Amino acid sequence: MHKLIAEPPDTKMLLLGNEAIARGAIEAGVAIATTYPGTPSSEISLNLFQISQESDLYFEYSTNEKVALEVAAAAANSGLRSICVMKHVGMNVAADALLTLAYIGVKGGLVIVTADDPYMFSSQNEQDNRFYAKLSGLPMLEPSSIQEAKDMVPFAFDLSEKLQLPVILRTTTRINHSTAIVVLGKILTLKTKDDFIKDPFNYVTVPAVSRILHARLLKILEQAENISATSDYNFITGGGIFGIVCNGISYNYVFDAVNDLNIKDKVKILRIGFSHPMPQTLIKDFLKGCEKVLVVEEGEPYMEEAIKAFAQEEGLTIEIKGKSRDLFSRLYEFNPAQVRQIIAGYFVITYTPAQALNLSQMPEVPQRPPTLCAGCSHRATFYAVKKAAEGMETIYPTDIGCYTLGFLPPLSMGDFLICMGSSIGSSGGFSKATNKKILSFIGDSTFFHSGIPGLINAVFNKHNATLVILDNGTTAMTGHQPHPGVNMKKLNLDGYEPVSIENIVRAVGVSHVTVIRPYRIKKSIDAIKEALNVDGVSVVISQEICTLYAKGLKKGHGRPFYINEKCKNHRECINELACPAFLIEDGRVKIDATICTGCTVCAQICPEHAISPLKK
Amino acid sequence: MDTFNIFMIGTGGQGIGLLSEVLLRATDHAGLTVKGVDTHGLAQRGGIVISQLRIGANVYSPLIPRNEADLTIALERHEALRGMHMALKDGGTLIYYNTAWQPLDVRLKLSEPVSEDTIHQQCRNRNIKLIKVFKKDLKDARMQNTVVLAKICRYELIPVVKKEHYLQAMDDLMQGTLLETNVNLFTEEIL
Repeated sequence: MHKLIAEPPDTKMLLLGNEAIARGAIEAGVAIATTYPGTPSSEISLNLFQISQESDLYFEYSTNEKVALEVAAAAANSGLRSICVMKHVGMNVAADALLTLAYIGVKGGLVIVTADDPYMFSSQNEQDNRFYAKLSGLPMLEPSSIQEAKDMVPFAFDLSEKLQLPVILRTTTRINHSTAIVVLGKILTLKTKDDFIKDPFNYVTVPAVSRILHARLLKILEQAENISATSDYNFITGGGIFGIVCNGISYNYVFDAVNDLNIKDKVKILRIGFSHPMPQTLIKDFLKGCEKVLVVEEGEPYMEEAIKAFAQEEGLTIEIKGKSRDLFSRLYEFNPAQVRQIIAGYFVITYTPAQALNLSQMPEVPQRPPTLCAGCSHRATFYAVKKAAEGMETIYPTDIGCYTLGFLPPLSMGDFLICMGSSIGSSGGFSKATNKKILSFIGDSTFFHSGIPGLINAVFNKHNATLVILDNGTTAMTGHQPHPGVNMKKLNLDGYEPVSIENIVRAVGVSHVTVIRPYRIKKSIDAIKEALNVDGVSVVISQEICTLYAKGLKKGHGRPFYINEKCKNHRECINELACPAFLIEDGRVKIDATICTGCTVCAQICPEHAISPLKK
Repeated sequence: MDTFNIFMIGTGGQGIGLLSEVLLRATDHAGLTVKGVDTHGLAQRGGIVISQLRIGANVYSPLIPRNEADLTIALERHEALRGMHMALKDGGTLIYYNTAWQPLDVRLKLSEPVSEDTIHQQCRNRNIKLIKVFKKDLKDARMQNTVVLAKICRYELIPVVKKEHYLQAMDDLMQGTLLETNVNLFTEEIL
């Protein structure tokens, strides 16, 4: 039995933040769970996916976040408790559905989890999704601990049903990926079927209906604000003339800092956990007792702006600060030492911070950026593209996935990236605006997610570009989740038919389509050359299973290779491929046999034939 | 015991995740309050992987304040020096597995590798206790983390956490032959 459903209530368990959120959903009796995977949210859905295989929970990896939200929205409006999980940028994809769903509302509870990523550990931006709550008018909760991450989910479902609105649970990476002890709660029995009661004048959002629905939303928000003002998730600790308002993970840094600085009697802390609508009356009362207030929040000044507006309404002129050049930055994530130092400085507390290390005086450590794995099929494809396009002036728009890493030297395959699916769309722009050859890359899962409309656009509008679809049979970067092109039998799941990328590409009217096996370097180069000569849109589908995924499925690798005595130390292998299996020992190239997967690519490109398979 | 901070660093694929999970659970089995935070996602692809563990009932933040780690555990030589710079306090302890996964810039001759001497010198300068781990005849490089774990146990680097707690944690997280080989190696290496 899955560990998240095996233990009885009141058990204390060490849980990852994302496991805690999944458990919270189970405790709330969630019946429908949808998602598109994305770090830092992925383990929430991974656990729900596993649980769905041994329970009545319906789970799906949807093709993208918008579809995921639409599926969940309909289920919730048929009375079922539903959860929809995504990373912060996924919310942009879902936003079209989100903003009007807010008008329609829900019948059964709907919780939308957005996992934000300050510092961009695994993301293309660090947008602050609290503004989506404000933009859509939906209630929002933000946990500060793993226990809260779990507890807020059933609370969010109850709140959602009470207000008949979806509720947003907003986390950040350090909540999703922290582990701590959690006390489990009771699991509610889930309802697996209900009914959709037709009510077109509340559900079909033509202008006349929406005008009524928007007014209703604003009315519900007043009710939500009253709940927020008295919610236990907005609480005050300590007492004194200084005030700190904080949320999420920052609350922990503030709490530790106040302890370390020994100023518990001078500072009162207002922790905001129910952050949309902001608890206006509570904040106004809090401000009245303060001489000076500091707002501690990662990302944008979401709370700070609201608090300053409340102070203005009350005619308060106390100093309220948060984001400024000498205090907190809107960039990246906080460090507890920095929060402590800023609190001490702002409230003029005598405190000698530990001497910071002077790194300019220390020996340097070489950078270690993430890289494509040893034997990664993307490396082979990139190499083949590079050779095929040799001598041409090219632009390489790329997309979101492991293969984004191909932009790093020495491969240097990737010139432009904004979001999921942007490879194809931007290719069109470059092909119209420049005279260069346009060759773009997209992964299989990203193709299904948001590549298809771009491809149709390119065909119809007669763009001149070659698209390479890197089909490695899984959603690799986020942890090998399935997508519509995946053979589910490999995951021991029956009854699914994979959707063929090749058929889609042909069906939308691409006339030149080739499928290559990238480990066959020469054939691949020839096929890409041919595609580059086509006028209009051509597509190359590069098919080879993700080597890490293959390892997970216990598919054996080929024999590892070694450098034989013919090596003349040209280093073409290391300089062109930079596979992590290579190392330099005593000035010579070596292959680490424990890492080498036997993909054979380096052996094919060595001019001296100096790379051979190890004998068994 | 007051707060005790452990900073772990390695490269993607070395098993920092598992090591961190074992330490987390072992500390919990020892009856201490512990919280941790890990790296997941893109950074794991051959990049730097970091885990942080904080032990103590009165600490809220899962992140260790800059340069306040009592113990830094590194599974690789370059990362040992990086971990010292990023997290370790003067007078703390560094334990590292003496192997090198050459960063790309080193392989392309754009950067100098980190030597054992550099680490030694830095430890001396900053009054850091240094434990260098290496097992000559180790068959599977993926088990270097278990060798380090054994030394952490042997030198009692985490106060209060004892052999039985580590074993219990390993039992929680592994099964079958994997558990057996790791437990055997661990037991061998703590002697």
